[in-house]
Amino acid sequence: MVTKKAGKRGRKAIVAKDVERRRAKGIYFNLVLLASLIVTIFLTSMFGSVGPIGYNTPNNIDKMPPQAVFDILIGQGARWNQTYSIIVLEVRLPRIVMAALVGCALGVAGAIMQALFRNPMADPYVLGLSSGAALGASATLVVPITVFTVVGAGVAIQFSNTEVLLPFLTFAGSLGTIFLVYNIARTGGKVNTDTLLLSGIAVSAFLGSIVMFLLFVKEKQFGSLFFWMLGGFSGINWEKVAVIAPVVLVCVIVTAFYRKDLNLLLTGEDTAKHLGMDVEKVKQTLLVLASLLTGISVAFAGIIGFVGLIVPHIVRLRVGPDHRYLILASALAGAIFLVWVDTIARTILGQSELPVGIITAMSGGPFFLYLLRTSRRSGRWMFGG
Amino acid sequence: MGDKEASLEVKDLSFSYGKRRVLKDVTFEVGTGEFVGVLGPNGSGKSTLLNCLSGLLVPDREKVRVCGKDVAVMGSNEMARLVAIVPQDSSMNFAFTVEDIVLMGRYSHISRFRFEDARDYAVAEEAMRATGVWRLRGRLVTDLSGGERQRVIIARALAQEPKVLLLDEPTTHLDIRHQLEVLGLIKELNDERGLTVLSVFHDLNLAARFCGRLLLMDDGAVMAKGTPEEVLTDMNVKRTFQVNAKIGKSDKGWVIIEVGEVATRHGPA
Amino acid sequence: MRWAKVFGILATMILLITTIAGCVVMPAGNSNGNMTIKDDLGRKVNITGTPAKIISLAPSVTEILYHLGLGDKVVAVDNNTNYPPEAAKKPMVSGFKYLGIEVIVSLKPDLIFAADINKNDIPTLEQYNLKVFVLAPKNISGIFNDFKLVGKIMGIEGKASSDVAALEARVKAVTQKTLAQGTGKPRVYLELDATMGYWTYGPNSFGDELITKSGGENIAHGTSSQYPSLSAEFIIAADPQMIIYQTGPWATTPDAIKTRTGWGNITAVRKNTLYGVDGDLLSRPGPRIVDALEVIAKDVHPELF
Repeated sequence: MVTKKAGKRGRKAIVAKDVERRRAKGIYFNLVLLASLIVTIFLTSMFGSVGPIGYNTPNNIDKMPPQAVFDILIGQGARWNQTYSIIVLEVRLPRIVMAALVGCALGVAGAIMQALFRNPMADPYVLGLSSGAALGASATLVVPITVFTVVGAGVAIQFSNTEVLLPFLTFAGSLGTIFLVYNIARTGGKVNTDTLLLSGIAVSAFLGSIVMFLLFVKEKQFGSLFFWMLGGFSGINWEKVAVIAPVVLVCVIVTAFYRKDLNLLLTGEDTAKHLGMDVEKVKQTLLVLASLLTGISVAFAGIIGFVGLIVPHIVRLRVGPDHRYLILASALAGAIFLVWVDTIARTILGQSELPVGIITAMSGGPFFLYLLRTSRRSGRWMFGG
Repeated sequence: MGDKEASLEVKDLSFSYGKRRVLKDVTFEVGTGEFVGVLGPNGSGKSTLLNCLSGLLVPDREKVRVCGKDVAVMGSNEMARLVAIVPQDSSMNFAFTVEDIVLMGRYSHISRFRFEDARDYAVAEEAMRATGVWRLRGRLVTDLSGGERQRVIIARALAQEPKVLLLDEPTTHLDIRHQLEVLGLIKELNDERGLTVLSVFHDLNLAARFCGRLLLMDDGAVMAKGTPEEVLTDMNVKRTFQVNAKIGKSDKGWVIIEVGEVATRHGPA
Repeated sequence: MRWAKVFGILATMILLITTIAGCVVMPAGNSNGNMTIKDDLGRKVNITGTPAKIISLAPSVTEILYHLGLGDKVVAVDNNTNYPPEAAKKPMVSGFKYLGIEVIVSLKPDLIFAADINKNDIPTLEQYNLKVFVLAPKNISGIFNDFKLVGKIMGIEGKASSDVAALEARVKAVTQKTLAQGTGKPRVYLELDATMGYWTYGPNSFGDELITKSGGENIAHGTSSQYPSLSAEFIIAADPQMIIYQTGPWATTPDAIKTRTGWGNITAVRKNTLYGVDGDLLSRPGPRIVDALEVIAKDVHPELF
């Protein structure tokens, strides 16, 4: 029997050296990712038409020097042209932060889905959330643009209805879809994960067809909805960031609390139940977390694919399947990845923008193939078998 | 065998999958510290019985009691602290270390909001030492042999600090040596820790050798219960398994069943 | 041996079928009183006599035809046509990704006037032996040239010339003032659509030409695509002195423009020089482009008008 004496021995003495090394590796990796994220934010702030890294600067203004960006970021930008400050702080930075938050959210949502379904191919949209979101978004386009003012607490805020209505309806569409899919798959208080997947495919196809129909009927809006669906971060301001940030941060933190549950789920639902998990409740909670994370991301950034699928796999190569490190790592790596992708999206064509979804697909696909090949060769597919 | 501290009570347990009745009025008891084996041909309901005991299947109220508590109303968490199950097959295709897997057994003891503490690690270490996998603790489970993996699962079960240990055919997929090692280990745990054990067996001889009492099942009902001598008669074996057998005794004292021919309907008595 | 024979027969059959088909599809021989005229896509179109029944497949084309007084010869239009009002009353036989081929054939038109957007439907129309003449002007003088082409085809060259002259005079009335020596060239941002990204008119587009002729400087003039989508950063840095947006139920409003992040400091926003223009005027390369010019010129140089 375990005696009190053993307990007093303390953790350090008990834990083997090599296990400690692995744990340190996980923590170390996450610290490296965090540092990389901060560096990424500083570096990507330098990209844009007005420089320093970028081309096609309008001819009535000089290209911003790197020093200007640095000064502005640390709050010492007073001595530079005011337009520079506006561009860095009002145009670029909110966008970079939004991309980081969305990358974070999608990375974690992807990790959750992969654990929940014990399937390496699972991504945040696997339950039809994207079709529901698109339906919500297309409903917005039925309403013409109006601006309304909200006055409260002595402050008047103005925003246009596309700014508010679009994210709101999109979010509602996503959550409504998950709710529908879950309830279709539910039998007597339990949800079988395979049934859930199939239900998701069916609902996704159905809603998708409605979206296609709407696109066909409302030809004029075809272009804008299509572009929205491809995903992007144009028109992001600090208000939007303020809405998404708490949701993402809270959800990621709560998910981190479920790290043990996620690990247990990997060993099988029966085993998890035997080890004491209230499996249905945990599944529900995880599904809610993943849906909130994905829903809020899609609401503001459109449908950005591949991040949720690829990032957890890439990170797993380094930290393994243990969700004690995987959650944070997926969050940070997702953030770094998407910030860089968005930077490429907004600078590669000079004054135009490429939709982010296209770039994630272009980079994600080959990357995934590369992963597949290297892991098969090394014989170790971190995920299964 | 008086106290209920670590006991199993099954009373008139019936279970159906849809229209198919798999268990019919099963009644038996396992007292604290006993090592009981469950035997029966395929389809006799052994696994279903085990699942009803472990909480995977929810029986009717008042039918199954573990440590005096009704299984039908207990939550998974509470169950896991009383009962641990070592299933037949455990898929462990994820790159977790042995220590990670064994620590998972502490799930029911740790709140979601805290990390594993010194005591959790101590329990895990003890479990690993007892099952002889302590030296493997840093290794990935995917690199282990079948026998080693089985012992890791047992260690995980022990880490739950259960009162009752359930095993489902723990020796399938193991070679003879490992079969004996694993069962020997369980017997040791049963003797030294007072851990109540109920195990499903497919091998009559192993069951007879290691168990203090046996439960023979056929077609969802209890055919016989008692000591190996009482249960493993040639009549019982013939009726339940449809094979002729000669019952003997080894010099170590345990019952040996020498299996003969398949019994035909009009075969020798 | 056997297989070679089968192959030979098959090959001959295929050859025969295609030749016959080719003969059928080839245009009928030309008779008297016709002309071969090149349309804006470089296609040589054979026209016999003066077309009596014509169809328009684009709103810009409809406007050109009606401006020339050919309204009563028009038997059908497309479903985006809305000007002049009487044109909208005609049967509508085409639209975005829709071509009512059966109706068109049953109307037996002598000539179909199409625009650049109908390019992909031409093979289908020609399959039914329908004649298609494409008007796809690239600039204002191209539009006037189209007037003359239509005039030539429809036998109203005189009317066409005088119409063109009138339109050219209006253009000159504007450019005389706006392009005169010493008039400033304010920076202009002409917004095409802002639902997803800021779309505008790049070089070689009508919008660009209108801005130039209005005496302004299109901030997107130096970009590399005809209809680029600009980043907010670019527009903020370019600091246009006026912003012209397109009106309509789906379009943006000055208030919405002012709320755009980071736009608050743009000169046009600070000075509230945000002007709306009817989108139909801008997007149709037809007679009303001159209306657009007049409206925009007044916005860009209010002091001159």
